[in-house]
Amino acid sequence: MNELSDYREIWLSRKIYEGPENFLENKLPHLVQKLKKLEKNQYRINLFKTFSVLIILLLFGWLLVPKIADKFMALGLSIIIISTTLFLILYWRSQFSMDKIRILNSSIEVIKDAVKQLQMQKRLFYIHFPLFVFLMLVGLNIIYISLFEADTFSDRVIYHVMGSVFVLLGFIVGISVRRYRFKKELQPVIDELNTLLSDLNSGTTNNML
Amino acid sequence: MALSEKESVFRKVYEENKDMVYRLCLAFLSDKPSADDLFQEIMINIWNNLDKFRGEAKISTWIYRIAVNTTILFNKKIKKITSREYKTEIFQESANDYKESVSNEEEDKKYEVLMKCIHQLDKQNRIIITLRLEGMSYEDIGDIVGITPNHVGVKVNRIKLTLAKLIKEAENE
Repeated sequence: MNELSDYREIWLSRKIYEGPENFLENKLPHLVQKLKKLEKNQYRINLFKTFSVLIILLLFGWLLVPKIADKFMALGLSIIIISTTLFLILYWRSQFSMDKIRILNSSIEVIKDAVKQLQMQKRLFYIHFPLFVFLMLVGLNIIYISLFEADTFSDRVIYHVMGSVFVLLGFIVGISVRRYRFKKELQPVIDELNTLLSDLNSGTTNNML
Repeated sequence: MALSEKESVFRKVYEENKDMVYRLCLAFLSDKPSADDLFQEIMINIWNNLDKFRGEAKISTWIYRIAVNTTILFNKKIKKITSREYKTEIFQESANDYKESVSNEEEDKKYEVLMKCIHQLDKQNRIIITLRLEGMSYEDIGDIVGITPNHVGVKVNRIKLTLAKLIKEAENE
């Protein structure tokens, strides 16, 4: 076994797709058609997303802006819309996608890239999401100042507390689910990739069985 | 690259490298459906990156780079959170048509033992020994993985010893 030549011969002699159902003859054209369709669909999906965002922004400007009663409502709404938009952008950017990985780099670079992308999801829910909820609370309470201006002080306090508690409950549920999923699904993948990275970088192998 | 040109390049690449890619898949995953799934993922990545092939490297090295990196990232948990789900059925139909060539009984046995032992290696060692069995030089392996050729050499020697021990044990069973 000091030389691999014997096993290389056996290894290389294994061919696939032989026999009467020749894969290339019968199946490849069909597969290529599907891949081409997939590429066109991806282009359409991206186009659709861009148009959807533009339409929502235009609708917002057309319907909501003229109805803003005063500066408090304008300020509150602006905070909510800006923070939601920023969070959504961060959320989309943080989504793990094989397309974002520079697959043509060396394996070590690819692993680092993948770990970085997976860690972005952690940062999103441990840092950005709490910040986003805080801004939502601020925006909501500023809007309430304007919205319930005519009510009694005690009623206004109740509305503020109820609105805030509702948002906070949503936050607690959302963050708990996300953190659980991260720990269960992504952390093991990150650990596995980090182990592989350190194995590749190390001068020794730990597989001497 | 125009779509028709891409299609013809893909066909050629596919025809010339399908065995090599599928051997890698089988070395990594012992169950055939998962190996088929990995094969399909590699082919999708080859298709998606065809435009980027500039011809600086050998096409086989380029394909292997994609294949190895896809294999490293091939993980059911990652798959679950990617938007790739809708693509998974593409090759399924064809995967059932895979047939391994039948050689003689002794060779088959040797191949089975080799595969069984390779499956016992850890991921990095499986990558390196698979590339070596394909006949790649230390330089090419180092280039793909991102380590120096000397480092590859050290690893290959260690893997050979481990593999020899495993094969001996398996043959004595």
